[in-house]
Formats: sequence, structure tokens, C-alpha cells
Amino acid sequence: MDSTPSSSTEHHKRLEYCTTRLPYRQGRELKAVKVYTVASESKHLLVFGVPKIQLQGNLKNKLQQFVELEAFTDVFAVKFDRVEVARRAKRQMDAKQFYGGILHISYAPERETLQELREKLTQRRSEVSYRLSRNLTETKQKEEEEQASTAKKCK
Amino acid sequence: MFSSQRHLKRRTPAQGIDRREYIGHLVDEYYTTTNVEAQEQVTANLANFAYDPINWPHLHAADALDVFVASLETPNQNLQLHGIAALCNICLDNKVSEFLRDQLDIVIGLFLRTDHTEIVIHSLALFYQLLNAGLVEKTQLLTPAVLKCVQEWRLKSQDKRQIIRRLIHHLQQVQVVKRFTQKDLEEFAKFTGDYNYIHSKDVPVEQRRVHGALLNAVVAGIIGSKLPGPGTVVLEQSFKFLKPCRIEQETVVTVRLINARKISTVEYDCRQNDEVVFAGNAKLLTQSQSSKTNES
Repeated sequence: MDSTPSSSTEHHKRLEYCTTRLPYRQGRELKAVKVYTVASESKHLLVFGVPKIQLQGNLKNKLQQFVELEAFTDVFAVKFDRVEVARRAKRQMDAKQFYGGILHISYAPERETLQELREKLTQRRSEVSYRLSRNLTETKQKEEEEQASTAKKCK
Repeated sequence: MFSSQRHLKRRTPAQGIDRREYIGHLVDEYYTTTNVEAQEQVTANLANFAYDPINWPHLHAADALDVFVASLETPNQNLQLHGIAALCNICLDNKVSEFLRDQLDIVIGLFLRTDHTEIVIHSLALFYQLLNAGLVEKTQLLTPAVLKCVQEWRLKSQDKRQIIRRLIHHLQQVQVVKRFTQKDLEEFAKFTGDYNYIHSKDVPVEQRRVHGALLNAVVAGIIGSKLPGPGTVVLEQSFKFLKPCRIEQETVVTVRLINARKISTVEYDCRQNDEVVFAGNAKLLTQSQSSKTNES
């Protein structure tokens, strides 16, 4: 298994939460200032902050839909079947407590094979096109409903 | 993550502002604030909104595109990063791709001068999406400067991001022009101990020939520094010396990438006066695989 040189762990660093947002745009949870694109997301995740005790079994239970889990110094590398599952896992487990430690989850797109990368980019394209058509039908439906209700009122 | 209209309606509190208004406020704040951090925060916010197509009409209505392009042109690296990420997220929108075709120079300009790896990653993802969906012409986007820059990043990066390698396959061939001198031959003889008189002044210059091993070494130099580049390990080679290679003549050394797989193959030759003097092929182990071998 190849070891990741330090320069490539730059993007795995945990950023500070932003506390200086203006009230109108401060959400319920604190978040860091960070951008995500199709290039940042991945079905590969790295899990930092797992306490160094025999937790592999517990971690496995936690990550129910895992495919591969390997000890990677004191960091675990996980690969999910699909990006959406990885997204959900990250959302649910990031910054959460775990046996006395706090987990830090990060996407690890550098672990993708070329084929996985190609698939990810293709998937983004089809997802966008699906969302566009769904949003269109939803808007049309809404308009029809509104027209129907105003027509009713006029009667 | 994606939202539907219904989902957004549910999430907005009764007294809250809706998504379109919110995006409008973010754009306004970008222009009116004097606080750089606030600008960074709102651009990041807008860039992440750009990920979900449901927000695209709102972003257009608020002229967020102008904010993204303006960010690219600031000297602030975080703003540049947020701007390019935003464009990468929104590039599959028809109006945006049209817009980008005209603003391509600004995007390419940032890509060529930046030293920030995240900006490079999002730029490459942007380029790939535009090319893949046929939204921009290859010739317009993949200028020699862009291709050279991609190759340089590949060589520079310890971080084996595959997306860089994807664009490298455009560079299939490297040519180097070399002129061998008697001094080269004498130094090579001294270094290797090959004092064969056929390389020395004992024969007239028209009959003198360059060491075969030296020709191979020049080819190896290209393989190891240019194509495929550093980290490459030669596994197997076969070559032929077809004609004597003379000194003080222009020698064109060409390496061609035939097969860029787990084990790559290259073909190479040296020509003088358009005649092939040396030719061969090799099987190579390229960078990512070779480091695995070293570790095991």
C-alpha cells in the first residue's frame, strides 16, 4: 500500500470553524469556510482521530455500508460504493465523538483510480441533467396548481 | 447535495428569506463589504450553492457569475479558489458555458500563473467537464501553454492526483535535438572506460561514430525526465544500431508514447539527415506503480 507523502495531506487538514459570519448568513451549525466541487468529493474517505485501541470492529459497525476498511497509520481509509453514501457518512460522522476521540472525516479523491474518477465525472453530468429536468417539472406543476387554484377562486 | 423546491420551502423558517433573496444578499455583500474575510465567506457560500442546479436561476438573477469572474481576477488566493470552484460547479449550465467561452482567457490565465494546487484541481475539473460535454473547442482551450502547464504540474506533484494524468495523454511525443561533439565522446569514454578507437581521433571524423550506449543514455534521459518523466523505471529494452551516428551533426531524438497503461511502452529513434541511425522500444513502469513496487 503506498504511503501518502505529507504534501498531499494538505487538503485533509481540519479548518477552523468560521465565527465571524454576519447573522443573516450564520446557520444553526458552525461551519468552516470551504468549497466543494465534483473534484473534491469522492467515494473514498479518510477517517482521522480514531483512538488507538482495538476499535476496528466498532468502526466497522458504525460505517455500515463500507466496502473496504484498512488501518493506515492511525488513520482509516474507507471506500464506499457510491459518492452519495460517502457524503452521508461524512455528514453524519464528521466532528462527532467516538470512544473519547473526535472524528475528522475527509474526502480522499486522490485514492481514486482513473476509472473511478471518470465515472465520478460522468455521474456528475447525469445528476445535473436529472436535477434540471426534475426542477423543471416541479416548477411546471407548481404553476399549474396555482393556475388551477386562482381559476377556482374566480368561479 | 441537491434540494427540491419543496425541500427548500420546508427548510426556510416562516420569517426567513427565501433562497433567491438570500443569494441576492450574498452578492450584494460581496460588492458592499470592506471586510476581505466576509468576501471570502460569501464567495464560498455562493460557490457551494452553485453545486446544486436548483440555485442556478437564482445565481443568474443575482449576477453571481460576475462575482465569480471578479474573484478570479483579484490577488486574493482564497477568492480565486472560491471563484474557480464556483465555475467548476456551475459550468454545465448552458448560459454559463456560453459565458465561459468568452471569458476563457481569464480562467486560463489564472490556471497558468497559480501555484495553489486546489485551484489547479478545480480548473482541471472545469476544463474536463467543458471538453467532455462539447461545450468548448479543444483548440480554444488546450493551447500549448495550457498543455505545458499541465505537464509541469504532473512533474511537480508528489500528490498523485489522477485528474492531472488524464490530460497528459495529449502529450504523446517528445523530441530533442542534440549535437554530439568529440569532447562528449572523450568524456563518455573516460567515464565508461570504452576507449574503442572507433570513437576516437584515431579514425578520421567521417568514420568516427558516437558510442551506442551514449545514444541510449540520451533516450533514457528523455524517458526519465520528460516522457513519461521522473519516477519511470525501465523494465525492458530492445534497440538496433542501423547506421553509424556521426559527431557534429544535428541529431533528432524522438520518444513516442505508444501505450500509457500499468506498464507503458515507448518507441524511440535518433535521426541524422532524416535517416534513422538508432531505433528501439522499451517497456516502462510509470510513477505511481513504481513507488508501490519500492514499498513492497
